[in-house]
Amino acid sequence: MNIRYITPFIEATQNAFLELLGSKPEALTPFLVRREEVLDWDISGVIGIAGEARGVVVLSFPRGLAQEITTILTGQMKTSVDDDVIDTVGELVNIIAGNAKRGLEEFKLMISLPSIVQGDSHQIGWPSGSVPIVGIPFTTPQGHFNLSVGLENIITV
Amino acid sequence: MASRFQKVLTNILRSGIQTTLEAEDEIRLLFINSIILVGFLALMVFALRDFFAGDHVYSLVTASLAFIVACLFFFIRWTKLVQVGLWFLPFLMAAFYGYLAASGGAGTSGALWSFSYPLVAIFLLGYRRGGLFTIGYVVFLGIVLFVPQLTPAWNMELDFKIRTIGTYVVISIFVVEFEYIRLQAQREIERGRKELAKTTDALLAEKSQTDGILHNIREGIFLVDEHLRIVGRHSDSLTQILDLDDETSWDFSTYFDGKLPEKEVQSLRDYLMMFFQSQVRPELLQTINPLETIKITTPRGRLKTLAFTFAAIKLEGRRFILASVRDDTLTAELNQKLKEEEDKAARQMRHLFQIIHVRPELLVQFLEDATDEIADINRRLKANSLQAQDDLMEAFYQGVHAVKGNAALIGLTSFSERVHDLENLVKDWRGKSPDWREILTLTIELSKIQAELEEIQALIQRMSTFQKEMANNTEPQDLVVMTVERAVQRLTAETGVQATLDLKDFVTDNLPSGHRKLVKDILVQFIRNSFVHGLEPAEERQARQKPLTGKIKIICQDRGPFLSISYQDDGRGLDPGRLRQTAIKKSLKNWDTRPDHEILALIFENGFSTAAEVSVHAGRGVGLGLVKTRVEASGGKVSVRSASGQGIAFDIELPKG
Amino acid sequence: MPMRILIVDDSRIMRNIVKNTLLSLKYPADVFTEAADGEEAFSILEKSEISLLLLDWNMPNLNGLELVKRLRSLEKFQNLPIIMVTSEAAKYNIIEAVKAGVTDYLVKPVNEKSLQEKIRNALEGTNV
Repeated sequence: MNIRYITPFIEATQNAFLELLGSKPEALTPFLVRREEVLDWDISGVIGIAGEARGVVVLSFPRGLAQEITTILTGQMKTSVDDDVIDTVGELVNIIAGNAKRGLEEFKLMISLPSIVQGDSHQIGWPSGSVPIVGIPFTTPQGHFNLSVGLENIITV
Repeated sequence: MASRFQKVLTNILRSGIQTTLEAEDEIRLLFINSIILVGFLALMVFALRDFFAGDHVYSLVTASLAFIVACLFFFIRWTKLVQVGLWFLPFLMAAFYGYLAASGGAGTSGALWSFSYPLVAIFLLGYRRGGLFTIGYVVFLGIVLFVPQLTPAWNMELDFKIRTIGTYVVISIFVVEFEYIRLQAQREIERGRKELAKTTDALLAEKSQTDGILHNIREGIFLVDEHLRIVGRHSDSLTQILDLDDETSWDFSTYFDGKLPEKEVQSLRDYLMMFFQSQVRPELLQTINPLETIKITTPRGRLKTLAFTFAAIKLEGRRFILASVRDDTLTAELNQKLKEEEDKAARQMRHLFQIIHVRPELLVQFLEDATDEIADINRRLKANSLQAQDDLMEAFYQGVHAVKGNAALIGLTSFSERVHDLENLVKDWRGKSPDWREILTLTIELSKIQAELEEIQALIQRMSTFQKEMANNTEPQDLVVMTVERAVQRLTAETGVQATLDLKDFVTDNLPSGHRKLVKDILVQFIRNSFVHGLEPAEERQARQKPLTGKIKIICQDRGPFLSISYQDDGRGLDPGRLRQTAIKKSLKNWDTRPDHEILALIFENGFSTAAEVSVHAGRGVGLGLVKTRVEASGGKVSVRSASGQGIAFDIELPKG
Repeated sequence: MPMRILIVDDSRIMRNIVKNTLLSLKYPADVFTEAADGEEAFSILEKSEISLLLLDWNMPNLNGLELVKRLRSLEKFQNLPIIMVTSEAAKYNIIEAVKAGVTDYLVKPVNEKSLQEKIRNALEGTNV
């Protein structure tokens, strides 16, 4: 795991929020995530990474924020995590993944189409084995969300 | 109506034979039936005419001939024995014509019928056999005409007879010639047809082979023209490998737009054009294939590893590229998995090598402690997001420092070096407030260390059964005692300083397990300081008239609600004067004016150190600061006594509860 | 016509390495000429009869790629065997060089056998 693999995602996330929701999310203190830790987020977008590093990048949202984002973007008031909310989160993660892709080409990293995981105490499919996982909390006027990165280098230096 | 008539006529002429015949036989069949029909009609007409002319004999002969011919027709029709007709008719006609010729007929014109004989004989039987019949008949005719008094025809004028024979011969020659030529032409046509059929069969076979190949081959094979478009046929798997809709003509180079960096797409176009334009050597072209193996995301979103090969070919004078693509995704994935397994195995070997000589109980303790330290740091990190903490970096630093020290102590040297690297990074931020980006680098490194600890833990899990048996053979030992003894051993080996350890009064039975780690760490810190700063080398001790071997004594006593721990060595001790100087040099306010017995406490301040070198074991000036922090965090007290030149003593009070 | 090989690289060390490699392949010592940049190489090529050009890509005063393009635009040097010996290994770089007209391409570090083979192939085309 290298900070250079992560910064494209951070920038893409900040840009996406800025463009779509009008404000740039502020990053807080990064911390460690244990693989078996159950996150208390309601809906997560998981982006697979392959190439000289292997793992996942996960964007996790609490239901409130997910609903709020959907409300802003669709103009319809959302009070529960319905299909629209899931689609919106999916789209958002898609945009972020697409933007991050360009920054990763030079490192020979490929990213996959994101998939959405939801439900109370959902588990993330971290790569097997002991992989370093770092979480970066973000705060927006509409609420908090989390960007987690679990990556291990394949080419041992 | 017309076609029904055609069908009936065809049926009659073919004697009802449905099957397709060879051309020759077909012709003969039609011919014979035609002759029979025409002949029959003609004969009937003549028979009737003769009958009404009063010539009953002629009439009867003609009619019976007609009858025979009719019978022949039905015979052939019934038996389908066309050959019979072919042979029978010449004989019959020879006889009949002969009769006509011989009898002279109407104004000796009966002989005229003979002229049609060569036609019939040769067309029915071919120029060889028919030729024989023709010759036979002319002989017969000659006999009929020239043998005196044989037949009434002998009475004809000589000229007429000669002309008759002559005309017959000429006609015969022409018919033979004609039949011969016709036969050759027929044969040519047959040969041509057969060859054509063979070629067509061969082509069909080849086509079905090609079809088979293109349907079944797993690789995508296709042709590219000079406009870099895919043309012509391609194998079925191409559309599936490249995830295309089946478009028959599209630009090969635009497939990669958006899937590869633009520079590479342009480079690909340049490369492909080389196949059409230049004089580049084929071997060189092969080695610079930019699509030799690439990873792309297909239009349907699948990540595939593809391998392309290209070769120049010429078809009908035009140049093309013959390309093939292989889907190597599975292979690549397997190789990847293999590499990961190899890497993992190599890492595990490294860990194994490290931990194999470490006592299992120590290792377990170390792992627990290290995990706790990291968890502590993590709690702080998470809390920092809610409210900024001034001492976040300090806590980070001290936690990492502790882990490093413990790792070094139990002998995990390379691991402790990795932690040392992180410690260096964190050290720069002590007392400062880095922003999240700067913290991120630290967090990443920390996560790697945590991951490595987890790996070691997993490894131990697997080894635990093995080591349990080993452990059963040894007496249960006190971990704190062991740690202390081991620390002394290691430091002796590293510094060369000799010291004895007196643990007579070190009673740990009542040491609560919650304090175990703390006591262990503190004592180890003291021991380190003794070996690195306190205890003098042999010569210096001798000069001071101390025993050559230093003495370290540790006492632990149960004082009811408290545990009292005392550590002392007989080394250099603390020099208040030097301490004061250091305070001044480091601008530590309020310290430079303290009286001697109070200034000793300076050593518990963070950042304080008089050692010139920073080494792995000591000299960071944090150890004692950490000790004080942790003791006080547990509700205890620590103080120091010292007589300069004689030794140092630390007294610790820890609440047992 | 006696053979002359022109080695062009701005690093003297690199030139020596190439030269030594060729010497160990039994090329006689008087066959070599050297240049340290593209312009210098060009003037040597104009003045003397060079049978083979070995050049690097990154050089001051006219880099290798530009030199190749210039040479190939002149009729005199259309058929000159040119082998680029450089550390640029990316496929799209090699393709660019081949597009400009190099006869062959070798990536540093120089493999003796490859160099020999490529030189032989390059010279075959000109009946030297």
